[in-house]
This record gives sequence, structure tokens and C-alpha cells, in this order.
Amino acid sequence: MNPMVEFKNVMKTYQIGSQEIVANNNINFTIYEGEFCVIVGPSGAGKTTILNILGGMDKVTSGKILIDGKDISQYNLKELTLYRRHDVGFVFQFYNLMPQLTALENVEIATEITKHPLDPKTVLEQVGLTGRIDNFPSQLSGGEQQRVSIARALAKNPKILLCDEPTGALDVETGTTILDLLHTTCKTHNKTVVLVTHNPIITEIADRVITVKNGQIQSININSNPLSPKEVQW
Amino acid sequence: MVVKNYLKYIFKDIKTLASKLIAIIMIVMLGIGFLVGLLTTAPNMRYSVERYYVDNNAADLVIQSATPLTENDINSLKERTEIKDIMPYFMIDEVIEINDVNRMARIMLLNFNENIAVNQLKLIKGRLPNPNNEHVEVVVEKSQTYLVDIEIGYQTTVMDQVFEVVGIVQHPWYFAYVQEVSQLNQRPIETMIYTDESFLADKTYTHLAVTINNPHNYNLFSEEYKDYMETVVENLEKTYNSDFYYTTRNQNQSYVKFQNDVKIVEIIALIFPAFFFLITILVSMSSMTKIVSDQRIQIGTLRSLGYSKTKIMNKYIFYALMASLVGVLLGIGLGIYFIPAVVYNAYLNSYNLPELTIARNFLVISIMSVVMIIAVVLVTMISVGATLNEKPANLMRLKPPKKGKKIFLERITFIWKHLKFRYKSTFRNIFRNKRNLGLTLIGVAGSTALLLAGFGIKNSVDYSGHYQYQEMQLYDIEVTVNPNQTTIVSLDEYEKIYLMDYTFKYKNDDYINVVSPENNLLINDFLNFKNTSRHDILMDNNSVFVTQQFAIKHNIKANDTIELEFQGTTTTFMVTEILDYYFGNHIFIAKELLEVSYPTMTYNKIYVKTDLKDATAIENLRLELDLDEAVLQTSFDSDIKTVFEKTSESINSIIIVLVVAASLLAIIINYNITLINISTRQKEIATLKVLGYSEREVSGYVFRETLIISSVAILLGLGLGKLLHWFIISLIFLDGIMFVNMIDWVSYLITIVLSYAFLGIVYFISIPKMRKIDMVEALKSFE
Repeated sequence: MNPMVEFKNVMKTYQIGSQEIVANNNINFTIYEGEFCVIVGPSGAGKTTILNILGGMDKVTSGKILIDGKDISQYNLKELTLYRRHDVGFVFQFYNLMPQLTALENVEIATEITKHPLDPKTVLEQVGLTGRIDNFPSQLSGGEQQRVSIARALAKNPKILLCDEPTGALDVETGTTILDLLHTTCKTHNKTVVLVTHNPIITEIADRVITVKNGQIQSININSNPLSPKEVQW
Repeated sequence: MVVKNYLKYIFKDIKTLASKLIAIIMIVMLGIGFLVGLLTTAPNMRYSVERYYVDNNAADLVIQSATPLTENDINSLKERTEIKDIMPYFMIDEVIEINDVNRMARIMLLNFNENIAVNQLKLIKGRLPNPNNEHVEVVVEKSQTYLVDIEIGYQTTVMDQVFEVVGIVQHPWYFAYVQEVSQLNQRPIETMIYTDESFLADKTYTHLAVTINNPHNYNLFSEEYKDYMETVVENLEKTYNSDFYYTTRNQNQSYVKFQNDVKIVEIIALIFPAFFFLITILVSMSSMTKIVSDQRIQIGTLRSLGYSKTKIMNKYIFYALMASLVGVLLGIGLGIYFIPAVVYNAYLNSYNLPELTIARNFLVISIMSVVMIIAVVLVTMISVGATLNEKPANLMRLKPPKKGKKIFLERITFIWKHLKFRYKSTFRNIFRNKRNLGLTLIGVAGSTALLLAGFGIKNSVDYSGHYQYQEMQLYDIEVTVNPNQTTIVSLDEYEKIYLMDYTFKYKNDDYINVVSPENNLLINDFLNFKNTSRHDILMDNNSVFVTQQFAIKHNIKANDTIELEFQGTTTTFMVTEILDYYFGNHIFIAKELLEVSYPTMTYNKIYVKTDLKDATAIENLRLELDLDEAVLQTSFDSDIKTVFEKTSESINSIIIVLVVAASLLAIIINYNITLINISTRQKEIATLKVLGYSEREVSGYVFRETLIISSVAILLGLGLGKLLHWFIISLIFLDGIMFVNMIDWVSYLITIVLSYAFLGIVYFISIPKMRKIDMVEALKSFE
């Protein structure tokens, strides 16, 4: 298996006034292609910082981050934009759909700027939204909106799928179907999925669990027998 | 205790809202500043001259007597209740030699031993004459376009008497740069000389300068004042039958010219208020709405803590009151002097007048200020009220973004299908936020309209002058001659045409100059006649051409018949054409038609084409004509053009104010809307960034919308501006002055370019705001 994401001695500090706050310190991990990886930890542990750096939204203070072998820690803002555009599919906790666009158009807004996008309609059908593609976000349920958000991320045909608490705003039942969708996508399309959450139960479906605490990696566990989301006792 | 804490909280709050409150202060300041400045400009200009009149006790009326005035006349006039002060003096128009040139001089003999009672002279330089000196000391009127410059110390000897100029003065009846004409022989006055009455051995008075009691304190430029003066003159005429000739200010050229100029300023200033007011209120409203929506959670918290609606509302009313009050005060400070001074000073190029005096326009200013403050508070109450009426629980959440929906355009499938995706998104957004749409449409269309109207007025003024003096009147000099002595030697070598020019009576109360050339074919070489549809027309044996303004005023159309009366004979003419004509009122009638009723009429005017370019040659010809006994008056085209250019320059000042105001407004409105757009779409923008949109694509996403709305608004504004321009031009319909209703295509172009430039400026200053939006915003929820 190819390593898809590699963090090497990554440190991130923030300057707040005259104080320097260390958000991440000496972070090292590797995620392999096609893995379903869950980064877990309590709030304030530093998982959001990892997500921001991995998503190309923030720069590291020191260390290296290799994505499919390329060191994005050296990228300038323009290169980071292209990285986000072509290599990362982002699934938000609150879906972040454009309210004035239909489901289809919300997917198109992402595919419009990518090099090798998948067909938006097909992807929407894949995520189970056949017949809903001309609806506006306000006409969709929370679960449906999250499906559109996932379709938007998938249709870019990215190298990694980054999910920030994707079930955080959903009830358990809907959340399970969303996790199932992500899990299936990962397994059937061999897509690398990185999911950030504070909810430890989700780790049961992961291939790899990275636990973060106080800005540092506490443990990295390989789950030899991950459950499918539907088998998990929520 | 609670109140104290709440107050403390309010003041802390002000700090965080500072930038938005400053925006309100700024727009109110600009709005009130321009409103106050523009609306008080004309009143201030009038007030300055009124003050000048009062300070110098200027005459309301000059009475001229055919025979020398007697003590009895003077005493009986003095006893009349309507008369306040009376000053008898001797006045004569004489040709005298100054610096080796014969000049037409108006000489006034006044009593310098005592203070001059009426029409006091304002000393500009030097001193007043000493009556007891052995040689005759005189003061002269300050030079201007039509009055020659004579220096202090100049001496000349006339009939063994030595005259010396000791001072330069200004007479309150001669402050405008206009040509005063001698009553003696209709020749233009070239200097005015004042000396002591002891110059004549036996005191003789020909004139009386009179001030009238103004019991109702009528404004000196008002219709009431004019009417009142007419009544006064009528009453005097009843008592003193026909011995006296009365001249009121209404027949004083300086007064009339100033009155007309100020009226033009007033009319142009008229187009601002409504729009300025509307914009100020709309911008204040959107800023307040923004403040309230930013503080939803705070409001919700306070509500759930048990604070009453009124108490929370009071806080925002307090903000609105403070911001608008500060804005109003700053605006008054800024506008009250600056704008009137800019315009007034521009007019000083054709007036000898003291500096601007600011009138106490308390009423106008306080009304505007109070209305503005109330309006800002009211729109605040409306926007806060809407939020307060929501359930406190709802307030704890951020307002979800407005829902998207299909727009009308999507039904027109063949257009929608072909639109690029990003435009589809833009069009939906345009109709998603109707308030922004309305604000942009009104703001941009309004400022575009103001710009176009401003440039258009400039075009109208310039084109009217150009047309009349360059295209229409092809002659260079208009010479008025003695009807019995029409051969002018100095004009022998030039191309010329003789004309009859006499004043006819029309419909009992109006007068019109009828002009009839010696030769109908030849006149077309001197006057390039055009009818109101701008087609060239030629004069022939049946022609009766009426100039435009007179035709409009009396509703005369081609093929109408008009009755004109001259020396008791009334004749009916059929009007053949209405002329495109802007300055003056005339009727051009073929000689053949006029001769039928007035066979004895003689030539009294000559149009001359000289093609002289050289200034000395022109001056020489002017001197030769002045010296000719047969010549009563000469009017050089070049002089008229100079005067016109000065007026045009003065009008520029108010147009510049207009353009600057419109530009500032355009920028402020655009900026305001863009800021609202950016801040209400922070999350959308952050999301786009996360999706990998470049900064340029993101700003395009936000700005494309503004660009499309603004383009529609600019188009709308051009139409509106054309209308506004037409409205202003048709209001400027003064006696003998009107302007063409025409806007040059260059003005359209400049307006469009400027309007887009303002958008560009706003785009560039708002780019950093968009850049600053952190992608992390995208990860946050609506709380």
C-alpha cells in the first residue's frame, strides 16, 4: 500500500499577542491509500489544527507533510489553493451548501474548477439523491444536505476525503447512513478517508485510529477488524 | 445599580460597533453637508448682495427729472411715508478724453462734505475727493469688462480745470460686469466718475436716489419686493404726473443679471435633495440592520435575562441618535460655508462684490437636520423592531441565510440553458437579496443620473453659446446707428447689411424686437437661421420667424397669426417658422411684409462682418466707430463671447460640486453594499476558498453580482439623468435666456466610464476584506 498522508515532526504554533501557543507538537503519522482513518480526541486537543493543515487551509510552523509523496508544507498560497482544488475533498459538519444553488449546482460549483471531475449527476445518484438533484438546500433534510456535501467532495475526484465531524449535526440514524456512505465510498473506490471527530464510538469503523491529546499524538492504533457502521452499537 | 451596569455595557458596546457607527456618521455628514451647502447657496448669494445693498444704503428707486429738480419737489417727496432716505444729485453722460481716447463717461456730482445718504460709494483704493482742494478731485468706478482702468494719480485738464483721480470706488448699482448704456445717445458707458457737487457753481439736481421703507421686511430679491416697488412707483406717478422717470432695481442691470445667475444656481441645486436624502436613509438603514443582525445573540441573551423590548430598543435608538447627531453637526460645519463659497467665488469673475456673507438659515438647516435625525432613528426602530419581535430562543441562533429559489429567468430555458454556471449562480443571488438589489439600483442609478445631468447642463450651456455666437450669428459687430444718418465711413470696406430693429408691443403687456433686413437673400449670409427641428431655413419675402423662447412663452406655433403694434398701428402677421435661438427675443420679418403697414420705417442697425483677428485692428475699428457721430452703439461679438464664457465658467462651479457629490455618494453606496455582501456571505466565501477557489475567483463570485446590478442601474441612471437634465433645462427659462436640451455623447461616455471607475475603486478597496476571511470560518456553525 502507498502512503497517502505523511506527517513528519509537524509543529504548529500560534502567536496570540506576545504569547506563543503551541497547538501541535511533534506530530508524526502515516495514512495509507484506501484507508479509513479516524482522528479522535477531546475538543481543544489539536485535531482541528491537524485538519486545517491537512486540508491546506493553514501552514505548518515546522516539519513536513507529504501528500502522495509531495511536500505541501513548502507550498505557497497559490499552490495550496491548487492543492485544495484538485487533491482534497472536504465534508463539513454543517454541510456548507450554497443556499441559492440546487443540489446539482452545488456539486457543479466544485467540479467546474477541477481537472478530472466525475459526472455530478452520477455522483448524486451514487449518494442516494436520485430525484432530489433540482432541489435547493432549504428543501432538503439535514442528512440529504450532508449527502450533497459528500457528493460535492467526491465529484472532484480527490486524493483524500477530509471529513470534519460529518455526523455532528445529525441524529444517530441519519448519522449512521452518512458514515455508511463514507465507509462504502472508501472501500468500493479505494478512496483515502480522514475523519475528524470527538466521538470515540466512530473509531470502531476505522482502519486506523489516531488519538490526539494536548496537541500531541497519544496513540496510533490499527484496527484489524473494523466494523461496518451498521454493526456499531451507537 | 442595574441601570448603571447597563449604561456601562452600552458604552463598551459602542467601542465594538465603532466602525459601523462611523459609517452612519459619515453618510449623514455627507448627506447633510451637501444638502445644507447646496440648498443655502442661492439664499446666501442673495443675502450677500442684500447685505451689500443695506450696508451702502443702496437706492430702491432712482427718480430722474426732465427739468432740474426744485426744493419743493424734494421736500414733498421727503414727506411721503413710503420714502425713507432721499439724495438729490446731478448726473450727466459726457464724452471726455482719457489717456488720449474719447470715452463715454457717466459723471455724478455728489455731496462729499457730508456722508452720502443713498448709494454710498465703497472705497476700494485711495481716498474720497476733498471738495476744498484747488483742483478737482474725482473718484472712478472700479474697472471691469466694460469699464476702462484709470489709475489713481491720473490728471487731465479740461477747460483750464485740472482733474485728478484720487480713489477707486464701487457704486452699489453697478456691481455686475454688464454694459451700461448712456440715456443720452445709447452709447456704452466706459467709465463712471464721481466728484463733489461744488464743481458746479449753482447747485442743480437731475436725479434722486431714493430708499423706500420696507415695512414688511421683504426679501430684496423677492417677488413681493418687486410688486411692492411697483405699487410705490404707481402711487408716485399719480402724484407727480409725467415729470419724472422712475428706475427701480428691476430695471437695474446688475440686479437683474445677479438675480438670473442665482436663479440658475438655485434650479440646478434643486435636483439634489430628494436623492441625497433617500441615499442617506437607505445607507443608515442597511448599516443599522447589520449592527442588529450582528448582535442577534446579544439581544436574545438580554431578552432571556428579562430585559424589556423597550430597554433594548432604547440602546439602538441611542446609537442612532448619537451617530446622526454627530453626523449632522459635522455635516453642517462642513457644508454651511464651503459649498456656497465655492459657487459664490466662481461668480465673482463677473461681479465686483464683497466676500460671501452667510445668512442665518436656521429654519432650513434645523428642519433638514431634525428630519434627517428622525429618519435615521425611525429606520433604526424598524430594523430593530423586526428582530425584537422574534422569539428570544430564535435570536440565540444566527439568522440562517436566505433561501434560494428559482428565478423568472430560468423559465426562459433557451437563455438559461446557455448561461455559464457562474452566471446562473450570480443571477439567483441577485434576486435572493432584494434589499441589496434595491439599494444598489437606487444608489447607482441615482448617482449616474446626477453625473449625466451635471455634464449635460454643461453641454447645454456651452452648446447654446456656441450655437448662438458661432454657428447662428455670422456677423462680428452689431452697430446701432442714428436712423437719419446711416452712412458709416469706417465700415466702407466691410461686408454689411442694414436692418430695421424696433420694439413692438405684443398683447398689451409684452414687448418684442422686430428685425427686418434690407435684403432677404443677403441676411442669410449674416444669420444662419435654423428652425426648432434644427433644419436650415432661408429668409424670403414671406418669412416671419419668431425666436424660440418668445414662442414658447406665448404658445406661438408655425402658421399661427400674431398681432403686433407699433406707434398705434396694429398689424397681423402669419408666423412661418419658430427659430432655434437661445439668447434674446426677436421676430425676424421680411421687409416686404413690414413695409405694407410701416412704409416710413428707416434703417437703424447694421450687421458687419469684419473677419478681423488682430486685437489692435479690432480696437482701432472700435475707436473709429465710437468717434463717429452717427454710431449710437456697437456690440462686438467677441465681447459677448467673453461675457458668455465667464458665465459658463461660473456655472461650472456648481456642476463640479454636483459631480463631486454624486461621485462620493456612488463610492459610499457601492462600498456599503459590498461590505454587507461580504459580511453576510463570510461562510460562503470561506467555503469557496476551501473548495479551492482562487482569490480572484472568489472576488469574482461576490463582485460579478454587483457588476451586473450596477450595469443595469447605470443604464437606468442614463435614462433618468436625461430626464433630470431635461427638467432642469426647461426650468432655466429666464427672460431672454434659455439653454438647449442636448447632452453630448461624450458626456454619456464619461458618465459611464466614471460610474464603472467608482465600482473599480470599491472593488480594489474591498479585495483585502475578502482576503482576510479565514477559511476556518467555513468550519463554524451558525452560532
